[in-house]
Amino acid sequence: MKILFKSCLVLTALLLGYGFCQAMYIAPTEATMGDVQRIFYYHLPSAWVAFLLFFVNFLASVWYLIRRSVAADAMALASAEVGVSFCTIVLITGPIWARPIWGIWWTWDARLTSTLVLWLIYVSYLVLRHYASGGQVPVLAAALGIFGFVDVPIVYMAIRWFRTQHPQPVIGGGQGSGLDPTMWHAVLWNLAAFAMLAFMFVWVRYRQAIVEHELEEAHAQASLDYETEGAQ
Amino acid sequence: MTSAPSLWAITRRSLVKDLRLEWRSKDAINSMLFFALLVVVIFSFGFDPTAEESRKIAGGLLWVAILFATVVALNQTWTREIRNQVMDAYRLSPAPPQALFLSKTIGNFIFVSILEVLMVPLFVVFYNLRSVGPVWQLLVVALLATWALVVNGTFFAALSIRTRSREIMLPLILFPISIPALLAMVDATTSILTGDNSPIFWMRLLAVYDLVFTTVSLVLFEPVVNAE
Amino acid sequence: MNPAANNNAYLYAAYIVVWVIHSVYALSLFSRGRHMKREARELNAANAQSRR
Repeated sequence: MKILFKSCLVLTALLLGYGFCQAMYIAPTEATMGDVQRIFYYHLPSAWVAFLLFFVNFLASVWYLIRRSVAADAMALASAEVGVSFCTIVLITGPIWARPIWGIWWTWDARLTSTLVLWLIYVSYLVLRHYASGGQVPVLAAALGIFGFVDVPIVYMAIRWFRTQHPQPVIGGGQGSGLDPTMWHAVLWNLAAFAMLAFMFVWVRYRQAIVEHELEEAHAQASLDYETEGAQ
Repeated sequence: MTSAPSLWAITRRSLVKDLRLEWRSKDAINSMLFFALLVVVIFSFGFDPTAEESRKIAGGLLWVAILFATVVALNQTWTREIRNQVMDAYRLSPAPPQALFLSKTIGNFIFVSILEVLMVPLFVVFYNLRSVGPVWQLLVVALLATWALVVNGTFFAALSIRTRSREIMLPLILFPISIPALLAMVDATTSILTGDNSPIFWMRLLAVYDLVFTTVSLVLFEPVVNAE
Repeated sequence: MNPAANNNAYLYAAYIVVWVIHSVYALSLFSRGRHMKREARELNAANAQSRR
């Protein structure tokens, strides 16, 4: 297992390195926006990876409510954490890209705003997990994970309509704008790279969550033993 | 030989019990009414717009005020149940937990509606509001919007019962999920008041939201309540 | 000469932000891992103690 992990780590590093080369050098410079557009090659893949992770959280939450397994709960926690991390990246790189191009940091652009709401929902999930006490937190969190994910299409529809009513600049080009085929290479390589990175993060965090659970049980057992010993 | 009572019968009985208790004690309603009044007055001090402007912002202000009043109401709902250990009694009884959830939600819906009946005329007075669009549309929006807030709010109030810092946990969890509904209710209200846009899409969105989350809440309520 | 060359600061800032965030998360994983290893060691030691 260790060897598998280490080789995946190496693969991840290689992919990230190559992705960087693609994004920075190999992909052509965009005609109107210039080199700043290269942020896109990190911005878009991060968004897709975050979304995938939240979907994993949804599946794990459903699985947990059905089976109540520690593994499902650990996966839900890990995917939510890594998802929020990638989502944060999307929310920061978006404005950094928007500022030089459109002169504004923020715009109620449908996609960026939906991402903000998504981020809020899963941060509230993490707040519940980390600040609520009681052995039933995993159940409650699972319910919240399901609510949150079910909300996503509604959020997107609502904000898209809001935007058509109150038009604003669109980050990343409108519906009609396509990508030069050579640019797709950069997007896809970085998608592979960040997906691998997310996979590694989730792997580690998942294992840690399992061990955390075992440690808790061990502590509980130890104090039980201590009490029974004391009684003797 | 009597058959087992239907879901609706249990819900109605539970709801009537709640309302009767509430009517006798009057504590929740009175504090909520005063809170709602305070919110309207304070907002009015903060924003002193012309008639044209007021139509544009009144929708947002009104629904934010109602949102805060709702959170106060929701925290109340489950506290009484816990205090009297009614939750345990419900869990032991053969009655379906969905009945408990429905009765709580409908009860909250009634309470928040009473608040709205108080707050809206005050808003109209303080802001000299007159709607450009038809008032019946505002009524539909209010019904759909109130249910949207209350259905998720009741569910999450139950969720946060056993959590540390419960009072802050409820809005923290409820608000992000409610954003599309809030957007819809505010924009619909503003559209109707100013007559600038059609509120139909927003009304449909609220209806979809209500349908989806009522279903999800009903389905998930049982595993959650049994976990307590 | 690229007319938008002076925007490269934004480009670098964005990439740096990405790597900082990933590094911070990776560091948090490391530190949690170390913490748990120590905790496990202490528990084992305590168990071994109580069995004597």
